[in-house]
Amino acid sequence: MLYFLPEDLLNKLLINLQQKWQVFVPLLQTGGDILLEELPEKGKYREDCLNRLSPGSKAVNAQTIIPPKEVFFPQSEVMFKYSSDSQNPDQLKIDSLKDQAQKTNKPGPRLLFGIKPCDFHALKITDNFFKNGFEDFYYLNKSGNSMAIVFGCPTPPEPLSCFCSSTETGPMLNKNSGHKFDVQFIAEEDGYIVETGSEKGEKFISDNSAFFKEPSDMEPLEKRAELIKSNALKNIKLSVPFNSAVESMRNKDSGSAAGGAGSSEVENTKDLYKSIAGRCIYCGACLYVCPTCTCFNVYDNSSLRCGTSAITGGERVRVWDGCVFSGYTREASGHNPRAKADMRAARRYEHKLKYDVPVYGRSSCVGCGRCLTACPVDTGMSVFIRGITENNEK
Amino acid sequence: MARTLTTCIYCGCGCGLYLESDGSRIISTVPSRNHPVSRGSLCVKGWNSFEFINSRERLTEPLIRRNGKLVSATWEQAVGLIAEKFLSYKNRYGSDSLAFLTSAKATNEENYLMMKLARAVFGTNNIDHCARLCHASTVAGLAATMGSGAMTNSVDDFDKADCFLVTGSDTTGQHPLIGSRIIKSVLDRKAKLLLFDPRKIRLSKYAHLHAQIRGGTDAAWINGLMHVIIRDGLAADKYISERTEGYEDLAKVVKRYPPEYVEEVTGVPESILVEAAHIYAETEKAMIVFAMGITQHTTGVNNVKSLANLAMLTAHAGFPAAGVNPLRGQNNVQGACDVGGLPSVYSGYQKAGDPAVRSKFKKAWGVDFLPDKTGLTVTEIFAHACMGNIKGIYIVGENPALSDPDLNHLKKCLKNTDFLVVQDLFLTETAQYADVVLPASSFAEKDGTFTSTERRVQRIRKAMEPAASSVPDWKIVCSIAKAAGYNGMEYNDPSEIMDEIASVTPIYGGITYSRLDPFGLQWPCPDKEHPGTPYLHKGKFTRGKGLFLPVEYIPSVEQPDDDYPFLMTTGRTYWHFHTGTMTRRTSVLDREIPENFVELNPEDAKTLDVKTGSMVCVTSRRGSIEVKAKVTDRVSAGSVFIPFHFKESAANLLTIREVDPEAKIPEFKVCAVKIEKV
Repeated sequence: MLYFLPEDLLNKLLINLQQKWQVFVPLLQTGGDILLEELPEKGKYREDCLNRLSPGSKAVNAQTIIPPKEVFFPQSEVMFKYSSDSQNPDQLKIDSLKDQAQKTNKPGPRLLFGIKPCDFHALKITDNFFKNGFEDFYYLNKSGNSMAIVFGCPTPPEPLSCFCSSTETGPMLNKNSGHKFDVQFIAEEDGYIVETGSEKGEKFISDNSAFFKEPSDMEPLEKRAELIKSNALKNIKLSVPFNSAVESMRNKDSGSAAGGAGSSEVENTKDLYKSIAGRCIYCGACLYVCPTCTCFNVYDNSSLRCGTSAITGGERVRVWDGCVFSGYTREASGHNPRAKADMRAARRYEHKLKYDVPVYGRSSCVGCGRCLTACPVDTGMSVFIRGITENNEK
Repeated sequence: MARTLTTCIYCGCGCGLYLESDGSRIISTVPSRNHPVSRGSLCVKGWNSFEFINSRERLTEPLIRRNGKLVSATWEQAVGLIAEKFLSYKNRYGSDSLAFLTSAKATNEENYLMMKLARAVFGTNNIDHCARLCHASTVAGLAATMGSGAMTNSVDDFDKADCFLVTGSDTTGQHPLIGSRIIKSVLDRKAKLLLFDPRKIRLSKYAHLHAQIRGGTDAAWINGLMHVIIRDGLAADKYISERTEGYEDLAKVVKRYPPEYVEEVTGVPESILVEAAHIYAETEKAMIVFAMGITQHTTGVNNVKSLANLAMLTAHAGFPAAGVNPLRGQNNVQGACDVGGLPSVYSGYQKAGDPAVRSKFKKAWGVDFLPDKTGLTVTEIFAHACMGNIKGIYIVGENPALSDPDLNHLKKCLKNTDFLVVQDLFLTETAQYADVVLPASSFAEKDGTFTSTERRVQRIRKAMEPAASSVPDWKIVCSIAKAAGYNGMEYNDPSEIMDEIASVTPIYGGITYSRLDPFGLQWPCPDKEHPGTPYLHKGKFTRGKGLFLPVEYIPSVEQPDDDYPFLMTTGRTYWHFHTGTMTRRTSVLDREIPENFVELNPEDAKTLDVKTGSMVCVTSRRGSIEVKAKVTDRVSAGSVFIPFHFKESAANLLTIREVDPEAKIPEFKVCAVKIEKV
């Protein structure tokens, strides 16, 4: 179904949504950057945030520097705390993890308002990773009953590094293309066409029916939405042969860089990994900003009795981690199966374009382009895809 | 969840980042895409710069030594004791029995207050900081030749230059966001990289040519380049006659450095020297880039003067994308120098010996006396403490017990100091010697400004309340001044301190907090309408005419010999920062390089029967450490390299105390050691 939300009701809608949800919105920051933040519950700070949301303008159209995975999987989080038992100083007492989480978590499920179609697809992948096989309490505790209100991209956000039409994850969600979603906002000059894609989406509309107008005549709204969607596709600036890259990776032996010599194609791929590794400065940005990278490291942040190594208490923390770091794969013996930077580059691209395909039914690259934007030496997935498909043509 | 735009705490690049606070801790770091230096990127240290802030090893309360042990105290007790002790030393032994080490990690405002505390409150010029150990030679060498001791270009110029002469800078490791621009310029724009470095570093791979010089022979190869440039008619005659003086003296000296002789001294083949001279001289947009490999020598000032000579000889100063560019190693080492954390100058490099300067500051600070005698440097302060002339030392945010040369001697000096105050985030190796330890707040817990290597004065902004009962450095310094009876140091906010700095410091004259939003201004910025200065010496040099100051090659003090046959050099790695107080408390970084190593050439390793991972004992005339060998051709035969981050096997136990006669910078880059298999 399609509805319409007038521009001037957007902020009021958000305030209304806070009754049920913790609402996360993209906000304009001091440096002109866009980042997701929780809308404060009340007060002057909320007013300020609503102004920084700048409806229909920069905040909504631009890309957040960090993808929405951070709402459920922050860069660092305390998993549990421990303290020494005053009776038995050698024993550490661990505070119950669930109690702690409940204490610190605010009530209400999380609503991600204004995320991009590519990021929406990415969340399905991170949900899957943290839910299936092993249930990750920390992620699920935050993502449970959450919902995403997607804002389609009428034009690609600056800087132009995204390529969602190639990965079939945008620029707008389309039921016809098999996209499953709840609610999508499509911006017009004086408001938003609001498209529902599920029963949950319909319930969202009916729960907030005071804000959404159901048109008396659906046809003109449908036509307008179709036109915006087809224009959005035309506005895409960057397109890469994504499917042929995935296909080509599927046919390659694993660990191309690590593996033995082979055809000229394999040699070319090795050269490509070497050239990427040759530029890489190991900053980790491509992993940190990737909406589907989920690796983390776990460490203990302990307090010690002054001048001793006796632990008096502390916290176990998890923090984003990733495969470009040598220490990530180094084994206790010191042996490292991915000792060289080109082997680690291979791991990253093989993971995204090859190994994840049978696991998630699609590549775990959603075409957001953040890896290129954040890379200090201008390397990213689109560069790799061009490289590997050009190699194949050689 | 609130985000605060601030400036990175690590190197001098000055990247813009957001810290996210959950109210009680900082949970993430995000680069700003709009920031002119970071442009959406950070290095791995920047990305992880939030973690040490949350460390449970942070100092939580003031400590006072009682019966040999550091025990909890209140702020009133600690501050009161410091004021009482320092005043009593001042009264009994004179002001110069006190010394103050300010901090290249602290803000401009805090450094300014530290010099005000030393000079106005306690009446001594004995104030210095770790710039003494890194770019003191640059400040002296560039001030003498050009009139301004700072990077002449901007970081953006790295995207425009067609030639980089990089020497003594492991740029990708130590200034990653500048190093990455060099990589891109070389690979994507075909800019030429001329590398003069004793080690094979990451940049070697991109270099058009890499002259693997013998450590400590810099003046010789730089003179050699100039010899070739003059010999082959490549000198910029018009520029030299219009904008410089002293050329004749230079020409006379460099005539004595023909390529054959240079090859003999430095190991650089004649063909490489000649090619480098031609490429550098014939490229219009050519930048010299240097760091500790040039400055940390007993000839540090000469080396810098020599680079300035080279740039002036070829008209490579005073233009965009052509200049002399010292890369400053700490987030605010530029600023700590700018605002007067030095024994010879007040803020803006105004000379302490100049009566007009002193009378200006007397008026501004409301005091009758300011000292005229040049104060002691870091290296001298500790030597004098050892001799008993210095009674009280106040150290803010520095860790000399790991970062200074000849640590056995240094530790003796610390022990011998009557009263030592250390103000830091952690109980550092230095703080363990202190009589009073003060817990300072981190960069995330206060407001202020840092000045980056490109002279960009930019804000840091408070992202959370101070941890435990820590207090921002500026507030602590103010409370000590007050306790010592001085009433001229009361501020509601760091912006008021910056207003005071601007009122007495011409190069910062136009700087106010409101003008620094969002990404700062580059000094000189003399008035409120001035837009800042992207490159120095436009049209004419700061000192008027650029002055050629020819230098002769002088060998390093301690050369390898039969007893100590290896030349040892020290430095840093990409993953750690200085003495590791922050990076070794950051999980991803410490995991990457958890322990120390010595780089050893395969040829030497064979002779010593040592493999990568073998423990070796490295011994100099001053000390000895056990460390794991890393066999690599990054170092040439006869040379070894050890990073100085690791307290477990501190490289500075081995280094030598000898200093440059002018800048008093120690020769960290060259000493002689022997190596034995354990």
